[in-house]
Amino acid sequence: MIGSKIGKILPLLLLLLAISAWGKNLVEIEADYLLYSYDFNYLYGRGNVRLTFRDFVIRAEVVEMNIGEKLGRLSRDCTVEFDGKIYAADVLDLDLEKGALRSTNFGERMETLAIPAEGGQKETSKAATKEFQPLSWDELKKSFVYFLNKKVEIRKNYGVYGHQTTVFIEGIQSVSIRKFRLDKGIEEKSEKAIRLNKIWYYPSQGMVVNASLDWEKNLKRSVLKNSTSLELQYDLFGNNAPAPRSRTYFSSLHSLQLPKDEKISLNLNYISSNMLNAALAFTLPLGKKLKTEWLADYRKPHLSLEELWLRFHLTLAVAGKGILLLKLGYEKRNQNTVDLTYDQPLLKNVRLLLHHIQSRLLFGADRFNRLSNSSVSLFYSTKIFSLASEYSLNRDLLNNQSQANPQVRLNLNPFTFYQGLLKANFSSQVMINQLTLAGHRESLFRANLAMSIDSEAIQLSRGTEVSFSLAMEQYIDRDPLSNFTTAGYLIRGKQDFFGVADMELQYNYQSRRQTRSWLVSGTHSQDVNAVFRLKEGTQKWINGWVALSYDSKTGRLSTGYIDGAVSLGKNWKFQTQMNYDFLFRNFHYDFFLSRKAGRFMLRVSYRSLSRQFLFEFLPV
Amino acid sequence: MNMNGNRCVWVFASVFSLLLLSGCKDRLFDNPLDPAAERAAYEILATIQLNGIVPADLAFSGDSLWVVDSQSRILSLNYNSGAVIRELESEQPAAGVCYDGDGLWITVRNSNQIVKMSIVTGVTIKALNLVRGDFGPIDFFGSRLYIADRLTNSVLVVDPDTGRIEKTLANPGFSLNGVAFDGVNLWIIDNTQMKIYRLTASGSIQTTYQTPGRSGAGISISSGIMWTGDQTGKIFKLRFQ
Repeated sequence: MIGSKIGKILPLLLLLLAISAWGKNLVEIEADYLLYSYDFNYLYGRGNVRLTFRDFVIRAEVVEMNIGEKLGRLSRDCTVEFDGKIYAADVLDLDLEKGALRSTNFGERMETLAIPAEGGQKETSKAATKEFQPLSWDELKKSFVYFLNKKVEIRKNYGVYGHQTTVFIEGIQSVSIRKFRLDKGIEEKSEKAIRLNKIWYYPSQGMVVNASLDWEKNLKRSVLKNSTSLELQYDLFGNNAPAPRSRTYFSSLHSLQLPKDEKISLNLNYISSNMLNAALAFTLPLGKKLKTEWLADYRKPHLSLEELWLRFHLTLAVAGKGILLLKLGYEKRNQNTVDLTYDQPLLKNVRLLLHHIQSRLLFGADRFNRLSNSSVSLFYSTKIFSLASEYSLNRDLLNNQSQANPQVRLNLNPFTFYQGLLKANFSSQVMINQLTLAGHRESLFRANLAMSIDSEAIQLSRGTEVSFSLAMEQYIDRDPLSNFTTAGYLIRGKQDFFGVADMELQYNYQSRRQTRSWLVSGTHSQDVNAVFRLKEGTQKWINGWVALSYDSKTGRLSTGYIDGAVSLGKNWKFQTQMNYDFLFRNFHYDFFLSRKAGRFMLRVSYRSLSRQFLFEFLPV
Repeated sequence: MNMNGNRCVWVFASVFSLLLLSGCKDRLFDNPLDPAAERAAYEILATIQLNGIVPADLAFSGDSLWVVDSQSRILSLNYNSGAVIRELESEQPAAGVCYDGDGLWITVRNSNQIVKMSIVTGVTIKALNLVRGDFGPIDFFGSRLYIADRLTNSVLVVDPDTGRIEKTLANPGFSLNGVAFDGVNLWIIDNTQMKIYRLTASGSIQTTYQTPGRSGAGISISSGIMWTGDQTGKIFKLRFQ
């Protein structure tokens, strides 16, 4: 009945709305009890609610607004006053972003009517507004910071202002203010914006002030952008002595985007007592396949000689012909670098990679190191295996050394059997290494075969499962002492305890053997690790695990860990991590006391190992 | 396939069981007739199997073992079981990690930057740029950082307050996959040769050892124990003789 009335006047509403102008505020709300939670950016009002939105005056008993989501809901005895007439509704949903209103009436059948933003079409579906998800009162009560107000205004940038506001921190009444900005909302983009991002004290850094400036200017055929940040740190109490007490970080990036994708950028970086760096780059694409970059890079380290590098980068990508990358660098003291890469897919399964690097760089104060490295790699891959062969040649003229290193690697792709219960891997590597160091030549031949079998988790009974891994590796070397076989297995068992906790046991046995003169010798290691873990989500107030490691070879306990978290109510949480080393008899612990508050978190922590005490305010 | 699978499993299990016989009492290379027995350099105290972690560098912090993996994750592990205790979020991709008694230093992948981060929260405490470099593993000892620089194939000894390079030590090989300083010797892993180099503080070779795995990556030394990672997903706990 009421729905059909609204339906009749809807065209009139839409016509009037199209010519109406919005005021300064997006929404104004008054109520007997009006709570704004800073933690959740959420508003809750009760008793004689009066809300103005667009040209509507809405009255209700309850109002809830999730300002972060830009949605709101009014319920209980709602009336909408418009153009001198009053219409009733059971629930009214607001979409602040779209400027849309949805009315729902619960009669013999539920009727929903949406009034969209100006120019929109009338809809009788839920699509007109996003679905409002109310926050439970229990959650809202946990707010760390909240405000009680007589009146609240929500601005067009979703900034929230309260009138006759009383501040509550952790439920304790604090000051009362006549008018107060409860939330700054979304920052409006402007051509120039200086932001003070942070003023905070950190024990490890001291007082920190961080500010940034970002701007963008559209020129005739190009766009000029700048992003600058400045951070000042001052170690108030000399915690980091003998390091300098004050430290400055400055960085600035100017970029000019030209038509045809050319780009000029100037990057300045300064860290006090460390280095000044300025780089001017010009990116010049020459068609779709070729891209070049020209760079002048000046670096002045603190108390050391400066370097001025001129660099040239080229990227050539031709479909089907591969990618060529060339990087050249020259420094004013005749230092230079060359880096050339060619990556070519030869056939469907074959790939060729050529790489050459050479450099002449200062080594210490006055000597130059000349290095070169060339490598050729060929890769062949199929569904069953992948094969890689590689040859690399390295030279170091300063230290008079060189290394030639041909190698072949074969990997079988993992295959499964017993209906996927077991998975097997096999890999092999053959390598020759010829190292010449100061005239002395050393030649190594090494081969290696590795195979492993891993099982999926096998359910033994309800709540009990077991899995295992076996691995074996054979090392073949010309030196008989380096010829050995390693083998090991890992058995994992897991037992569920009443759906609340899990007990995990892991037994790890690894051996290394070699056979000479018909005798087997070698060593092995074995250990047992047990973890008792509370399942997440089953106990709301407690969570954590205890781990114990036992060296079953020596028969000694090796380490114990405890990680526990206990909820203390109102989103306060105490957490500890403890570690005891039975061998060295060291005990270390960390304590954390944290308070989650929707959009931020407070955390107090203590770390015994470094005797660090931290108080942090962390945005979530 | 099932028959073949059965055969495969039984052959594998038979060979495997021979290797696991513990009849040799497990002294280190315990053949009493073996004249080369004393040449064994180190004992493998434990082999920790990692689940889905390919280590790139390691650092021991006293209560856990920190690992930077091939995906640049910074993970704290139980140093006996390899179980992940927690993970630190980093703003930059990490290539190496070390612990200075207060926080973690990481080298930033493919860059000349090193960053100190809070071991509790992961927030950046300090960032330093070096004049050039392509940094990998890193270690801290005696208020100095030891950084593996792949660009110059050397280990840089760096002042962590200013980033000044105090000394440059040449790598005897051509690959820097792990670096650690124990107060007397500098240790370097070169996995193209499957070698661990033990150098003097001035950089000359003292001894060369074979890595316990085929693809060593990362070293950390603490209380006479050496931890070395392997890119096959293992961490070895070693005690040198």
